[in-house]
Amino acid sequence: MKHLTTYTNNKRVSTQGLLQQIYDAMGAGETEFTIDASGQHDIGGPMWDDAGRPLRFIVRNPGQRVGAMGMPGTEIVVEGPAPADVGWLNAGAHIVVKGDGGDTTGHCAADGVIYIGGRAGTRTGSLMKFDPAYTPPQLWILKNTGSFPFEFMGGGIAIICGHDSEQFDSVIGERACIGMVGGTVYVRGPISDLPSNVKLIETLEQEDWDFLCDGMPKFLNAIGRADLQETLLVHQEWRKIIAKSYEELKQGKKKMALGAFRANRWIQGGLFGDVVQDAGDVVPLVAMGNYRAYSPVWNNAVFAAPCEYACPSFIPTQDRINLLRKGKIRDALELVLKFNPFPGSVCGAACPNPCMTACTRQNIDFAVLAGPLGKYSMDLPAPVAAPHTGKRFAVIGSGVGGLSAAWQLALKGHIVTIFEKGNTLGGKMMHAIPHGRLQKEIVRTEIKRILSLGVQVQLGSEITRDFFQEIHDVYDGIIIATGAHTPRKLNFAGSERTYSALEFLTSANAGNPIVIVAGRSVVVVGAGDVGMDVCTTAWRNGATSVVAVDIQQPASSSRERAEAMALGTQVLYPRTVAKYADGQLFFQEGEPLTADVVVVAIGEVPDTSWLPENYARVKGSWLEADEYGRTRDPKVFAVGDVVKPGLLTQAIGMGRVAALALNAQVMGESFALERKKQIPPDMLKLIYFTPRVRQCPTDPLQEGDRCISCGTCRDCNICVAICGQNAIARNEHPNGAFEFRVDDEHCIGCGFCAAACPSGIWTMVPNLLEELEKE
Amino acid sequence: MESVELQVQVPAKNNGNESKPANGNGNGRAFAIKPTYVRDPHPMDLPWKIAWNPETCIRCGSCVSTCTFGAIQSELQKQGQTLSAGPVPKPVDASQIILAIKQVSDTKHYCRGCSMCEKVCPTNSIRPVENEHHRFPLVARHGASPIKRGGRGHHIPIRVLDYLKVGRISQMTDPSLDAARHTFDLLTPLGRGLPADELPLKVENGKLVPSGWTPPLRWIYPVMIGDMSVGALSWRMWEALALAVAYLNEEHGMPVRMSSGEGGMPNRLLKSEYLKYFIIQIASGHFGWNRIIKAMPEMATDPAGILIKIGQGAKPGDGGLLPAEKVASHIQAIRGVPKADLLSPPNHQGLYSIEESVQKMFLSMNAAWKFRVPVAIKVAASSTSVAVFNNLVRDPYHIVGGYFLDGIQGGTGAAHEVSMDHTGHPILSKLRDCYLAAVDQGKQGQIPLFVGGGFGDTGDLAADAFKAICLGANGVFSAKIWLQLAGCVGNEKGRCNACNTGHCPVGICTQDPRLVARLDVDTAAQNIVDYFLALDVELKKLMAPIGNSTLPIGRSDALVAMDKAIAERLQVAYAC
Repeated sequence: MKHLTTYTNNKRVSTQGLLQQIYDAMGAGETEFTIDASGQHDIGGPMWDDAGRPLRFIVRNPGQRVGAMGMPGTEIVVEGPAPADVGWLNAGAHIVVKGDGGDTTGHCAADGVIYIGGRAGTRTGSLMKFDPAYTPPQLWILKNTGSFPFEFMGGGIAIICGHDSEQFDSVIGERACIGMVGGTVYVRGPISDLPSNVKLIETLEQEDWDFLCDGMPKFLNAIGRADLQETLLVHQEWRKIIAKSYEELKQGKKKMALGAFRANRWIQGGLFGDVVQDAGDVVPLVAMGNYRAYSPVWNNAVFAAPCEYACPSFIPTQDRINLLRKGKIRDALELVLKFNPFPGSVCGAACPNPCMTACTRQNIDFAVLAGPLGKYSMDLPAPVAAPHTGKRFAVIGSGVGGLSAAWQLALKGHIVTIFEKGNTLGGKMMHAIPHGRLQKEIVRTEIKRILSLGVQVQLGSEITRDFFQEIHDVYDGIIIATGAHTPRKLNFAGSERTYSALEFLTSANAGNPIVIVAGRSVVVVGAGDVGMDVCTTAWRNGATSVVAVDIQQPASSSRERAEAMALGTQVLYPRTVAKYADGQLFFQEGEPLTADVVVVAIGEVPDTSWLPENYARVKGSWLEADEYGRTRDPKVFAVGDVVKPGLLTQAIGMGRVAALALNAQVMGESFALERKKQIPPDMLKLIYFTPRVRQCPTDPLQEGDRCISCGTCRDCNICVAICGQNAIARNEHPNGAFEFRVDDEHCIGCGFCAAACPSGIWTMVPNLLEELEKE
Repeated sequence: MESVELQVQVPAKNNGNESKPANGNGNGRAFAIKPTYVRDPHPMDLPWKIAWNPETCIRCGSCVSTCTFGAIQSELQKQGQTLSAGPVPKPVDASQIILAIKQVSDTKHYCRGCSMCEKVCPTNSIRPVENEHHRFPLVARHGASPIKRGGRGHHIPIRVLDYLKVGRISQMTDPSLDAARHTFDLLTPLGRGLPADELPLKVENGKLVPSGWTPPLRWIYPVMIGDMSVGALSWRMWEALALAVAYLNEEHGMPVRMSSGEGGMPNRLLKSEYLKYFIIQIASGHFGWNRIIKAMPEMATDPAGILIKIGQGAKPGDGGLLPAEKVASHIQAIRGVPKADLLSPPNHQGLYSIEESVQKMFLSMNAAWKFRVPVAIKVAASSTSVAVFNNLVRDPYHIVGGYFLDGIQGGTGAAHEVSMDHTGHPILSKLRDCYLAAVDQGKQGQIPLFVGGGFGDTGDLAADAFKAICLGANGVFSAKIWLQLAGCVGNEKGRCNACNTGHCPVGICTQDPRLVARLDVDTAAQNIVDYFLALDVELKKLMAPIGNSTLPIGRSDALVAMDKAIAERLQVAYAC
């Protein structure tokens, strides 16, 4: 036993000086020390005997960190109190402080035993640890601790006996165990609120109690208070604090989840439930059903093809071509008869074919041969008419307008009588159009087809007012189609020596020309289609020169003009005729023309003097009729040139519409003329169609591939192929009709179908917000 | 017969000005090169160009379907060429028609760079690419229309907050604290604070008791959700914010407050206990106040505060703007207006001076809740901010409960770009001026200072808020960041910012039910909650090093500036 004092010559030995003395003594084999210290730090550790003998220090009045880093085999007894950091980083020493311990007693102790016979200061036991390779550190405290004890404690055992602490609200001060993650704190006596990272166990397990019962006598003996054993070892007075496990900490927050909060505690039905309909669905960024921005609509035949739109008879040529493409040739050829009984005469011959002028295909190469296709329908028999209705209709005039009306009425099952002033049917088709342009045999064939429906004809029927009244009384309805036959005249000097186009053409067609043109120069005033017919006829009859003049850019169709020009016709405009004298035709502008024969082709006006005055006239001549052909007399309709000058096909269209309107009126049905809008060209995808054709095709029956089928489904199934969602299906009905349907629950509204549709059928329409609001 | 009546309708010829398939001109050259003119718009003019890879694209349509701006469309294109095959020249048509994804070039449907196409593309075949050579400012004013958009201002040359660092660290000096394990008090006052000697207190039976009316004061979290109106936001977004706020209060004890914005309040909230977490705003349009007033008798609790909005940092001197596209039926109902562009006047119609605003507006708003609710005022930061503040500080009636300053980097749902980018005042120097002005008078803290405008724009709101607090703010208000947490992809580099269009691709700034349905209220609210909880820890992480367990309001000594001019202007230490 070596006794060390820390004063020499009234001078204090420094910590280093004292420790040096200890090292020296240990080097000399000493293992036991009694030290009268004077505040020297770090007494007792880390020290060891090389022979493994235990070290023992009896200390009075130590400084801070007594027993710091103490090693196993080291025993330190402090006879009285010790300041801060008793057993700091204790690694196995047995440290007894018989009095109070200072702040941070046992701080970071990881092994060994620390006994405190009094109170311990603030932050006692902080960061204690337990190394599983060794024994857990023990920190016994007889009375209480200051605040913030066991902060960040990671392991080990602390025992707070609570003796002589009745004056405190908490034997472990305030804010104990903050950040404690491991270890056990046994407590006897009141404690303050604990943080959420630890839990307080109110009743000790047997194992705990065994530990206390085993350790308590040793502790009390060491600090010399064996007398307290009975007082302190009262089972129910002890509780313990342990850290929550990592798992407990993770789930242990015990906060209600947000979803549960919303479901249980939030305003029911949502903040805006009273003003907004919201089912609460969350839809993906690529949405289907009503949440799509757009949905495709199969707008089949909603728009008119340009050919259909341009045709005054409304013939849907795209439908004919679609049937041809499917090999349904008969159906294709019959279809036109619903609209026009003269496909051969008009479509195939006399008509300037506005359908072809409008045809989209000519933007690629050449127009689809809609006109020539008409000839293929020439020899078809009439369709089967509807059952007889018993209704009787009179058609006055047998030009195309009247015959068209008669045809439609007969098809409806009515009894139709045509009253014709002359002795042939067919009007200007027969009389005025040059044979070269329209072979009369075709007209006769097609008229026969009309008559085959049972249409009756009364030739040589000059209609007088009385006769009209008679008809009016007898028939259920009358269609006036008497045309225009009085040539319009120009009043200039010498005009009496000119011929009208009508008399010129009619007489020439009849083989009995009103004037011989052979070897003579001919000037035609008026360069419209009829004027061109005059030119052509003049050339064919041997004229030496033919000039057509007009006061404005001529309105003739390109084909008629091309034909006339090809024969050598000169067309001059603007030319306003001033006078005709000395074989010269003078104009207000330009040089005069030599003119052996002058033909005026500026149209005809109707003669309706046989009709009572109460039928309204336009400009004194033309009958007033609306778009249905209705005059102010509900029983009387009017069509063709008697209403308005126009093409044959216009008269055919008017005849058909008037017939259908009259039929509906008489039969008590409804009929409304609904003209489709023409399909916007940018909806058509011409890019598909390769311009392979460099020469105009000749076979109308082979036009299936070339026709775009503007606005009417081509049945190409491109939409089915392009749809990435497989949301488009083709449904075919037993009758052969088909449709393409969208499965809205799979469609994402991308618009690929619309982008890819060659014919402009698929249309993307905005999804209606109302539909969502309804949900 | 005459032919003069014939009028043949022919397809309109392509005028080269619109995107139409080449119709050609009837000469059999339909697919010759389509003419392009100088005047034609082109993606090169636009801020974003769509990059699309036809090789990997599977043509699923997702990109076109998801794009809310109509900025991409599908189009047929011809590929390949006519080649010769075999040993002699013999043409073979090897071309094919494909479906391509094409960018729409007009300035109404221009790509905003939101990248929803990229997000939904299953094969990474499409994405917007920023176009640094664009001419958008030149082409976008087509039709004599100024550029409008949402988001925050661009062209802010430097971000002053980044030059400030928390440079004074308590290590062995002050008590250093452990952010995770010590306790902190993150509370700031909203309401008029009185110095001790002005408090109406008296001693009765040895105890201190009130002797009169004390101005209402609430202790709230120093980061609040700034004003975004019902209308600017979709109903789901607004509800997500409100839900997050209620949840943070109820379950986490974080007294976060949210300003209603100027579009009124949902009736159900007005009558709910949760109203106490909300600050009701009144702006110059006074939208929605009919319903607020009518709900007063049924209010279960008082609101957290009232905020008189005078100005907005994003567009100072300009009033609110809600484009008609967003004025859905419920907005019409709450605001009491028909479908129209809703413009708030640039100023309150009945206020003509600071003095009057104090007397009239503060009085009315205080009186409305019988002087129980703090009333604050929000103005756009301006060269005149200190003058206004000084005037308020006098506050003889003790009814000024807070001064909210909104800086140039604040966001908005819709404004003229020229206002957003070129009007306004940086916030920090004005905050500092106001705080120091109060300090000079010994009145700091009596009228709490809250600042906003770009706080959190880099995603680090805790740091931004902390620095502002050290400079003298009692707290910050932030708005756009919460939308970004909910899924908003807009940023200050020109991405998206289409809040004004009604076509918000993430369902946040739109009233289109098809788009609103994209937003998941639960996830949006959860993200906001998570961010707040993380921000709470981060604020402590900043408070601990400087040794503050309470908010370091005005502790500018904690900051250093890495720029001398900034240091000088803000009166903090310069460090390099």
